[in-house]
Amino acid sequence: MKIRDGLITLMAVATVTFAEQSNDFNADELDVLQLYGDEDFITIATGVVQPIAKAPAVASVITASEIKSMGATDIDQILETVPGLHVSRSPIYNPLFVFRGIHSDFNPQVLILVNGVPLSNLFHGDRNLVWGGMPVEAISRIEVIRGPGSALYGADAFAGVINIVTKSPKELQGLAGGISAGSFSTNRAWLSAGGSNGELKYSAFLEAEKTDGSDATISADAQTFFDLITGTSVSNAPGRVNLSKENLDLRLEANYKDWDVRIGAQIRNDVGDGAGAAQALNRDNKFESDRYNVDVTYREYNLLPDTKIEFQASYYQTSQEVTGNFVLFPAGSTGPFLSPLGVPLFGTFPEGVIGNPEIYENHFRSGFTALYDGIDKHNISFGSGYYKGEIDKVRERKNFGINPNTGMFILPGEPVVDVSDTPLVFLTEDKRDNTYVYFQDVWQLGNDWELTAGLRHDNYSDFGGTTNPRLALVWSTGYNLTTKLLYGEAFRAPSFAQTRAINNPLVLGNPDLKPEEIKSYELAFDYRPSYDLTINMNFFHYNWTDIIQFVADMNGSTGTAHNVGAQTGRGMEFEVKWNVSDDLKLSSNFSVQKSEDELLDADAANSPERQLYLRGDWRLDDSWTFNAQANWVIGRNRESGDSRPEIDDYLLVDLNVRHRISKHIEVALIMNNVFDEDAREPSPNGQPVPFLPNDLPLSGRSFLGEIRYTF
Amino acid sequence: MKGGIEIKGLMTTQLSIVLVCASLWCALTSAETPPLVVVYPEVRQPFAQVYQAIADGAEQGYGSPVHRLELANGRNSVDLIDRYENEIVIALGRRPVKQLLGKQLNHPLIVGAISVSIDGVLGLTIVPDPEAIVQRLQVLVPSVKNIYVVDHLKGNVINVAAAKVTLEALGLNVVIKQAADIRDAANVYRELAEHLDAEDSVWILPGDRFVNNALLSMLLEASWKSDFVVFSSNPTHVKRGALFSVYPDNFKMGVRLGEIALGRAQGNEQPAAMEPLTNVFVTVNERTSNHLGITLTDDKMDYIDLVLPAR
Repeated sequence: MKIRDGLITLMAVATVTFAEQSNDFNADELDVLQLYGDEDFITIATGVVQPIAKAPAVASVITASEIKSMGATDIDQILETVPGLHVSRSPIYNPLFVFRGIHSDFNPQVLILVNGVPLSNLFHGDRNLVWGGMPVEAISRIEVIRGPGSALYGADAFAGVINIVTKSPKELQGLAGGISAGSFSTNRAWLSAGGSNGELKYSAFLEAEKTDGSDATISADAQTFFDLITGTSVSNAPGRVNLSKENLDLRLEANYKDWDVRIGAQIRNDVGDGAGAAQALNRDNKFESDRYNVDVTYREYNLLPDTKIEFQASYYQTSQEVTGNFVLFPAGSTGPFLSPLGVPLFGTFPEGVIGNPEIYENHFRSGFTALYDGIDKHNISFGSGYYKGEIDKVRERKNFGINPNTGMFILPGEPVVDVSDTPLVFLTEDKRDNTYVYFQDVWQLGNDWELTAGLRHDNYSDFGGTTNPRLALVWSTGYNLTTKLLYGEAFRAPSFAQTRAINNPLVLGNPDLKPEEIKSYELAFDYRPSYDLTINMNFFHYNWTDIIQFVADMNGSTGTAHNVGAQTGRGMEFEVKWNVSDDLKLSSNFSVQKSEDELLDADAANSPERQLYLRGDWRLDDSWTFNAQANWVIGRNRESGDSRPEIDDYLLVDLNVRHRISKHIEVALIMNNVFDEDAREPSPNGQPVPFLPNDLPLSGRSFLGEIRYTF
Repeated sequence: MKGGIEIKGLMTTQLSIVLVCASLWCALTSAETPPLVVVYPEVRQPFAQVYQAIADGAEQGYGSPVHRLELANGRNSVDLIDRYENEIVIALGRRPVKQLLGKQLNHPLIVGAISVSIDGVLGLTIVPDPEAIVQRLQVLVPSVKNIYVVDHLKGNVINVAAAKVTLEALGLNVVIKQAADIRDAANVYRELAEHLDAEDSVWILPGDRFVNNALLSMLLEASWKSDFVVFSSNPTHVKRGALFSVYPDNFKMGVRLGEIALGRAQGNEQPAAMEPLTNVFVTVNERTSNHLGITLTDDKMDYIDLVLPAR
């Protein structure tokens, strides 16, 4: 509260001192502006940022300046503004990036890249269960492609591709930093430094965050249900959602001649498990994750005529670790071990039901891309590469199930047993490799017609080969209208949890799974009736097949993964950007989708069928800017068989006031969920009832004060 | 107490030695070239990058490190450079140039990064040389024979009549249309839009205040239909559909300013006049070039620095 008051006072004082000086700034900046036309062009002309490459796809780009103006502190907030994309939550509150109605428990149908290198994990195909968010200060831009992209990107470029491009040494020359503090005991700090020595350019970016995460309350959980059945009274619900985290993100980059080297570390400590990994609340549950990456790129433009070749090798290492004991069900619980009549099988666990699963993965990738423009009217690209991924260590300690030393059940009150490296561990250590080759031609059919045709073949050591094409016909229909007709296919690699899970009491992996597949058709329009107005609209239709689902086994107690599901979807996305004046920019998008679960002949669940987003950026003068945004999430269906009433729609409003005190200092006050709306994301259905009956509440109103300093 | 005085005395002696050495070093170096001072306005990023790149270039052109002075708000360049003696000063941008011109300075003055050409002053304007632009036109669209220019009756930052002579020597026919005000200009542009064809081009002059968004839109839409070329001295017009534009190569501009300063330091005879900017980058709109059937071959790409991709 003190920080907030201080910031407001600081802003008020600064207004008086700065107002007299802003005219001088204006004159000098206007002189430069006259040469380049606008500020964006200066950043391109001075080589700080690259012009946004065209994409024969439905794509959005969010730049660093937009990220700053919307006051985002995590990529989730940025991605929520993209048409057709909604960021939902899993029970542990990990983000689920839901494109066009494609929703699943772990969200492996989305490929997230950082500087072109995938973040996908082998265990669930997601970005790690101990995600802990991704801060945004080091981000130069985020490129989002809606629809399939396997013809270029390979596995998991399925419902959409999100490429996060970090700031280069060119963007980070000098020293800059900032701190912010606000609601939920949130404290953040970042520091960037960059320099050059001849042709060597280098930069470092360090971001740190510590927060309690949210004030939302889980009113009832799985343990509430078990309490009701077994007569215990140990649930931690109602209780505050467990969303603490301590994050440290380091990114280093060096560019020398034709070489780029990037090194990164994302250290996650004290990461809470939201509403509980077993949907039972326990605020003492904490995870850790250490993620390290290094990638090297080399460009060779002189080896072959008309050919630019780029080689890249990368290494990415991740872990999912437990701090202390991970309590699935609280002390005094019987756990979920009940007879069909609801009678506890083992009595109550005095320390709670404890399971400490830990996973260590590494991923190595190498490949090349060649661009050949030696044939008139054609731009040909081709490439090949190799991937090797491995879960090289699986650890598990628990106080339930079979004790591998005795062959008997571990009974309540017995100590935690280490089942690592035994046949009873939850997942086998294993590896997967993949080789691929792709080819793409951008063919200028006529002056205003361009056809992009691409094909990629992937061969996996565990599930075989898959070939995915893409076609994009782009027509410059008129001076201010471009029309695109797109077709693409993609695949999603089965995760190790789906193919190699062996000792889960409920769900079992299936080594014979095939990849999920999608075929997508899109018609898109880009219309610019004036320089201040851009309208984008697209229509899409997709068929998602071979969806991996757990099907009940004959024994009545387990379910095994099979390619059984199918979903079709269709919809429309509409986006307007209007620069009302030099000082006022408005943007809005509206998405509508209707997807059907073909297996159940029911509406697909959990994704908003409609979404409306509005944003205004207003620059009062050179020193004050205001941003307001509203996001309305509408029409989420329950899963088939879920008897709960439909989940309420919600409307969230955020405000960001930013003030430049001097060339060096800038302050901001960010308010999220200004009207303290009770916004909820759907919790999964369960048997016999949903274990989190009142869904997953999001944070109420929150404040964040920020100070930036450029040296 | 006595000890304190001795230490103080010792320090004074050491300081004197250091100062003498420093002066000797300065004298030795200044025997070759006097130090160069570059003064430019303090502005925020990304605007500051422009001045910083010019100063970097000046350092290379001059061949030795330069003192950089950022002119803060409310400060006067005269006060800033008063701290220096005999140094050559490069003033960049309107505010420093305005403050220093006409003052009795002990410093030789070179000006740069301003859009007006000032008589009797050594320096470089930031306005691209017409010949530099039109040479790019000939590379990109050799089939163009005519260039239409709408000039302000009161003149322009470019002497269009003089440019016409130069450009016609390159084999092009230059047609100058005069306009008194924005309404007049709109009529002229409308008339051009109706009659031009693939052999024609329209050149939007630097700082042309006639061409507002509505007029540019009308002109570019007509050029799309009739396949005539629109090129501009404003790079933002390329984003909107003009075929190409030029913008300053700040580093090379700085190098040239550094070379002028070096020439001045070495006492070379130089006419006290401002040179036009010949070191320019070229940006091309890919969508428009495709529409006009221009293939951006390697030969053409040698003259292009930035392609704005089709959407």
